[in-house]
Amino acid sequence: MVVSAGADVAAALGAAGALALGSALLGGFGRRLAPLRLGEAFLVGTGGAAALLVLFGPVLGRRSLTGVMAALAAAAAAGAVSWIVGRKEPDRPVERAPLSSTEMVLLAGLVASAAAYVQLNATVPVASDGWHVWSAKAQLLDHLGSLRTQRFDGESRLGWYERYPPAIPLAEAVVARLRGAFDFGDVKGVFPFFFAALLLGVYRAVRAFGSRRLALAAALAASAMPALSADYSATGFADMPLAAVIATAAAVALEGGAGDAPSALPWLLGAMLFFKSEGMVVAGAAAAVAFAAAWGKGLSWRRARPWWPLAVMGAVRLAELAETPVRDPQFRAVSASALAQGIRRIPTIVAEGAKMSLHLNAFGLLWPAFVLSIFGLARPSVRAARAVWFAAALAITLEMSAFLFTRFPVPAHVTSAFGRLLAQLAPAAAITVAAAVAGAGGEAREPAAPESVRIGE
Amino acid sequence: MTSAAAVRLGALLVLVSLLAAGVRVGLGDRLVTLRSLDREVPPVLLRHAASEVKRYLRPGEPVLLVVRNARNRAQLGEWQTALFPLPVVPVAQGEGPAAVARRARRLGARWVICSLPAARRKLGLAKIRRLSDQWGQATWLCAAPGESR
Repeated sequence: MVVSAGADVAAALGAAGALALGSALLGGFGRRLAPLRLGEAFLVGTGGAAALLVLFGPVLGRRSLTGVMAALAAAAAAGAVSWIVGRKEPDRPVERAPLSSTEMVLLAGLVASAAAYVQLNATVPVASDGWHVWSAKAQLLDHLGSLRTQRFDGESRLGWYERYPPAIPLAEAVVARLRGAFDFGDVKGVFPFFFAALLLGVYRAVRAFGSRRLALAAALAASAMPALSADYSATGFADMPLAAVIATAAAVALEGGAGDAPSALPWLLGAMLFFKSEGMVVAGAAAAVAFAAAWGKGLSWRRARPWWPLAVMGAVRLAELAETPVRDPQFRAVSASALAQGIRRIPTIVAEGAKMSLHLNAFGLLWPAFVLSIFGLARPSVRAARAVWFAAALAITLEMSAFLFTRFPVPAHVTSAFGRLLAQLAPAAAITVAAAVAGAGGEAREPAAPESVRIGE
Repeated sequence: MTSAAAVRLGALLVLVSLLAAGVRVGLGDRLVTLRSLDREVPPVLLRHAASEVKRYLRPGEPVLLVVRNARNRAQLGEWQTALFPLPVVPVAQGEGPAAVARRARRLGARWVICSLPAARRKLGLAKIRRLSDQWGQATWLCAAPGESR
């Protein structure tokens, strides 16, 4: 085992702090979040803590990490008080109908699959990017107390990664601080919490339009998918945590209806910016689709106002990037000649990308099914899932465009990186496939209970 | 077959393909994965090697790392992480022994890490301790040029 028992406890404390901070940001104090919303609060809290780390940098310097941990502790204390004295009913109805035999089999498979992930995560050491990008940044943060304090010159490997966002290194550094020493194994204790949030997000998204059986099957598919539960997800990469944010954002969007701005969606899109660089692309694609949907209903200040968290978190992230002049030397600067060369690469990029999406040992048949699923999203009951489909497709297209400017041989770079981009968006693909099944009939969500028997509304 | 049944069958195939992949990769290939991690990915070996290097270094003392050329510094960040917070300074194998000796004297570095046999010969580095085999090449802790051991 590379993760010690003490590290698991430290990771749980850090996750509890993030959960409490997320609850506070979502206005959850004074009411009890339904179990399905815990992942949402945890992810918003993790992104919010990363934004705080950036904001604290100029003010607190090397005490920034301590400041963030103090904020997490204060949120946890306030959350505990609120939990004790606040409302006892959850803010959403809790499903209490007994499980059918099929649902019990699916749930057992889901538990076994999640347990296998936790065991694998605890067994395999951090590797590749998980080591020299994410946990190396965490080591730096633990040692210096701030990522703002530059330690390495721009030509070194760590210099390249200064622009990579801080949410995962922060979660890992919190574990190190609570343990009193940095260890490359112990920091992996944070990942099971993101995995749980991922499964909750997929389940919740499918439950917005589909039966419980369908939602459990979709969560099982996400849990078993090697791209999300083995390979780089078990070696400390940040792709699976970003996938968790994407799944949860899709759930919130589907519950609220496309085009509207439910309160948690801007927070989740803002949190994405602090998980991985690609989060900026996905958040941009999702915001563009939401904007397009809102266009038809008429734009107004009243509709735009709930998006302030995304604007604030975007401004913080952009300010952080502006302060970090080191450019990633893996990519050429955008210029006319680079673009001309990039355009000639498009057939290779598309061919290699298609090959990667058909990698059965990573994604099974998910991506061909995703492409076809758009034809099953015409029915009104699942039409909202089209927004998820278009946002995912747009994000993939935009992310592929990065390969136009790579300095590496295109096939090698696509092979090494595109699978991870697809992994980040795999929950969105699983959700739209499930929506197509629900749209075809037989697995749609059962009608809502009458208002009088719904709890907490 | 109705279209609804076809959609459900397709979705079932997707689920089965993912379960099969999960079992194959999660269980069947796990030993292979672990073995390949030991062979190809340096963290475990490198961290072990770094703990050996640290025994030779004084607190805060920099160590030189020979890299193939200025643009190929894949190992630099990994050594910087492994030896953190000790400074790891890259020197290109093309630099001559005199230039490397000058840099070592200026920085106060007494040790050089090198996994390139040709560079060791060219720079006249005396092998002191074998650290590990990374990517199939032996990595050595060497005395810096001009340092008598």
